[in-house]
Amino acid sequence: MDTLIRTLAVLTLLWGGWMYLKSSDADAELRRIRNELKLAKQELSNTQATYEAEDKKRETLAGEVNALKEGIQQLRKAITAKKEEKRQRIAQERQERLEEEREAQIEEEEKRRETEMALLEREKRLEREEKEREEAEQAERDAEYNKRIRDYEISRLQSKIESRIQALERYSTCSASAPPDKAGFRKVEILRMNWTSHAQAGIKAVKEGDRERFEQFAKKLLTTAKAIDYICNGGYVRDAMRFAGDGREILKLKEQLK
Amino acid sequence: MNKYINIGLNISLSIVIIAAILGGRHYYSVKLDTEISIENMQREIEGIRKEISSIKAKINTSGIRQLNSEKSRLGKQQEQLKAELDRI
Repeated sequence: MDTLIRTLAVLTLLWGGWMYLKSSDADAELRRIRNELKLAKQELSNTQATYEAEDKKRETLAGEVNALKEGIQQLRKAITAKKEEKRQRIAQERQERLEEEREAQIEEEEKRRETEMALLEREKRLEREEKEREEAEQAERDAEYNKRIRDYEISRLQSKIESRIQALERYSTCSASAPPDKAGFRKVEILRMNWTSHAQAGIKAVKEGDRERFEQFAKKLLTTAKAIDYICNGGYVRDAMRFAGDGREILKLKEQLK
Repeated sequence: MNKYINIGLNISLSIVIIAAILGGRHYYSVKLDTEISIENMQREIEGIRKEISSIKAKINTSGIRQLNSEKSRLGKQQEQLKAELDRI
């Protein structure tokens, strides 16, 4: 019995030692596994932190990229707007320049037209002055001509009258020795009335400047003078002298009309 | 004397034996728990490693490189457009 107990005790002690050793291994294993778990958890935490940082960085970069894209779009719009503004400004400047050139052309045209008008007016004025001068000269020449004609007419009429007067004076010097008979006396009276009316008409015509009428009555005066001459050869001296006096009056009026 | 020593020794040894038996039972119980814990921890480690792999798979450094490259390109483009705007 003692032997059994001691044997069991020894075996127990050996077994206990062996179990102690085994438990040490198990503890080491456990510690190892716990460390490994701890390391894994730490690695997981690091990995998660890295992922979150990267994700945040990616979001930041994506935001910056989007901002850049938007900025680029705005810049393109601004460039387009500025190009359009420049084009419109250039077009407006060209339009203004064209208008200025057109206005300058119009002004130049107006000046040219004014100059032409002035030259034309001057030409017309010169022509008018020339024409007036020519007309004046012509009028002067006409007046001179008319004066000469008039002088000629007057001298001719004066000659006629003088010849009439001379005829009348001749007739008045005719013999009064043989007075006309009753018929002849009546005739002389009629002729005297004719002579008087012719002389008055001729005087009136001279006053009025009517040569034609004056000629007409001068002609009648001559025929009347001849009639009287016919009578006077046997007629009255007194009547002949009165008729001659009317002819001198005509001459005086002609002198006045000069 | 030897008798009492033997008795005392026998009792002590018996106590040792009993303690060893009880200790052995406790040991095996702890060992079982330890093994279960080790298994659980190993499973947990395995799960963590899978998760780490998954996260690492999601990490795309090439995407960041692409974004950096595009950011640089867009920055240059922006500078060019600014210069063009200033020239107009």
